[in-house]
Amino acid sequence: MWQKFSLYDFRVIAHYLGVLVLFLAVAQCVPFGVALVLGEWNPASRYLLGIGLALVVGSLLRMCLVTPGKLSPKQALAVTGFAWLVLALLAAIPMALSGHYGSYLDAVFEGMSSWTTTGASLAQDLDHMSVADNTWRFTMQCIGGQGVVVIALSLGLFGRAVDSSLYSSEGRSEHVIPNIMQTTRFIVRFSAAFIVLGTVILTGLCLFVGMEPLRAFFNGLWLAVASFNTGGMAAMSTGILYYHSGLIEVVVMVLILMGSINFTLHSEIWKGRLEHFFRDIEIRTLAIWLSVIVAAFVATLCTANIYDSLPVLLSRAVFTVIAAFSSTGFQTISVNQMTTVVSSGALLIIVFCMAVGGSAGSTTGGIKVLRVGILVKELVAYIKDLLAPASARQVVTYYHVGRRPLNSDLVRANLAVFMLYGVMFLISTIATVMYGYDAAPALFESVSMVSNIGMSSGIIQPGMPDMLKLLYIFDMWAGRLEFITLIALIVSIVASFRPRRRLRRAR
Amino acid sequence: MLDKARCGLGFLHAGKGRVRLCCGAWGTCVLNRVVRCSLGAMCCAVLALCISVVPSNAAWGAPPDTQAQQTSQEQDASTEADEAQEPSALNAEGNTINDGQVSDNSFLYDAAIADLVGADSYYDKQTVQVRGEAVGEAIRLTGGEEGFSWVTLQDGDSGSSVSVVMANSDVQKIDMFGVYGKTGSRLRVQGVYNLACEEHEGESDIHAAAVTVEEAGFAHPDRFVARDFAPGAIAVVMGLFLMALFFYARERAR
Repeated sequence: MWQKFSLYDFRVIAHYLGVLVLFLAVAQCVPFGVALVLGEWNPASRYLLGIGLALVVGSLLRMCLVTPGKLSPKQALAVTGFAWLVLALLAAIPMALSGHYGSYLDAVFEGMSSWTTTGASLAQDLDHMSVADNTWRFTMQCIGGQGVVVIALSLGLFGRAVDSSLYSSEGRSEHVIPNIMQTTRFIVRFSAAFIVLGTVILTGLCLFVGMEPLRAFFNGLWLAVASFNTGGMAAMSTGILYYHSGLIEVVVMVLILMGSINFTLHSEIWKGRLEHFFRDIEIRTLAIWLSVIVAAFVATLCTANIYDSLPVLLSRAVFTVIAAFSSTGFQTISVNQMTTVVSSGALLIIVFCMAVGGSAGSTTGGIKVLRVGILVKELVAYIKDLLAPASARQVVTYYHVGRRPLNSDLVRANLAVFMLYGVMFLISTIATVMYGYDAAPALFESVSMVSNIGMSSGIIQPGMPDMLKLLYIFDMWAGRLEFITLIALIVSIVASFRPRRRLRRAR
Repeated sequence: MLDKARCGLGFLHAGKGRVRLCCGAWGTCVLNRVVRCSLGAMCCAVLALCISVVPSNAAWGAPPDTQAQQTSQEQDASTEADEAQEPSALNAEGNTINDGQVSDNSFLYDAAIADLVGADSYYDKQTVQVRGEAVGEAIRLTGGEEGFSWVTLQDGDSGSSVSVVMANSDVQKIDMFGVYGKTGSRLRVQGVYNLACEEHEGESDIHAAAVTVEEAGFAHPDRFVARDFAPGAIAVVMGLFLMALFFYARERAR
């Protein structure tokens, strides 16, 4: 029997969504303050309107239920699922009024891309965008990278009315510290430390390449935020290539790697338990997988004769692979080079890399290497079972912050997610191809959107069909929630509104 | 005896016994023939004159004022064209295509930045001329030749950008770079386009040979207009009122 929502459930969900919308009003104070300080009056008026609308909508939603009880797992699922959509819709209002977007839909696309740290952009004339607008784009990436619910929990916005279900429904299944509140605070503090450190270094490098101090600071901050949160948005239209600096690319790569590793493992290193890090199935799978991908990608680049020197070839290949697996999406090989100089085989390798993604419990997207590692382990165990005598029983374990048994429930859950990603890749690719795009770029773009990567082969542009924009918005939303949350939510809502069958009276 | 007769044109001709200039019948009179031929020749001359005077692209049937206006506009345009000394369009009829022609370093006049951003290998290593706004700032060229910088040129229409390597002496010509509240100098750059530059770590770029500033940059800072803040202020007041109402209701419920 399907779980259904009652009217009371909807009121509870609306109340907690209202809490998150009020949090959005507070978040918009950041670009509003920046605009006031820098004398950007037009953006300041827009963000004041955004704050006001968020206050009105948030308060009205909270009034749906004045004294809510504790969130049930089912309600937590719905709050998390709807949160990303509601926040994207409201966050798009000041951006849509900026004149940098062709329509409100384009601004919603940008909003969803920012919240989900996808990094794809439909902004026009990005080079003339105000500092306040850029600050808002990166603020969304910063909050979205950590997780909207994680940030809200760490700030205590939900009070004591929640348990771990809200935390888990955002695609995070691991508790760094047993207490949820402390776990979220650890994640936020840890991320803040890296972002601050990255900002300082990148600001220095931006000054070195010749930027003015104020622009150097903001560019350093935005790069640090986009790198650690694996957002991948850039403040200039040429992206990371604007800086023309190998040093900046190296710092960005380090920040990306820090953000793409499971926060639980970070915590273990912090505690001095290095063996946990090196024995972890996720780290080992990642190391093997990335080695294979880098080797294959370098080979395809060699055949294209695009780079003359080996160091340049390696640096470009490694950067592209790291940006792809981590769902950051920065591109040092331009779209033009990807589609005209490099072979379609290179595109395909990056597609595989994007599809698998990074670590679970980090800021990355995609299927996640932990799932791939577990499924490979299960495959090996299955072959062993076939070869072993019928009476033999083997216990399969894997190492992830300690030795854990590999049970059938875990494998089933991982297979479900694996299959859902595959189906979504397929649906999105078919839909894109139906609009007349070539198969290879269509597959590339679809995987990029579903895995929240943000790399583009040229399809994502302001002029692309509206239906495709809507599909990609859904892809980003569903991909960020790893499908399960969203599908469970949709099924529950449909079941709730489905009329009940009348019971036949027994004669 | 004088026999008089008239031909078709009314000429009076002498009769028999006199000089016979006219046979007395239409079509055979010599004078008649001479006059008719003269009239025909005059008509042809007038028609030819009219055809030569009237311009080939005149709007037939248009009111006389319009025609006069068009004629004056064309005269103005032709005057301007003469002043600019622009070459007239070539008549391409009869030209043949050489199938054996291969791409070389021929000069591509006025390539759009959008074309270069979506360029295939055909544009690689060719000399191009692009126009665009200098945006951001000049970025120091590290790890290469001294005395050069990166400048990003943006095409205002398509929003596409291309990176240009230019000498610092050319960078000095740029009085303003485009950012929010500023429109950068508009440059015309001639140089070699590289799809994957060997000198600069495989980036797509233009190595500028000549840089000309076509338009100077200008600032257009935001002005504080209190009226723009009114909708936001009203929304904030309403939001705060609703928040207060919620807290009041919650206290009442307790």
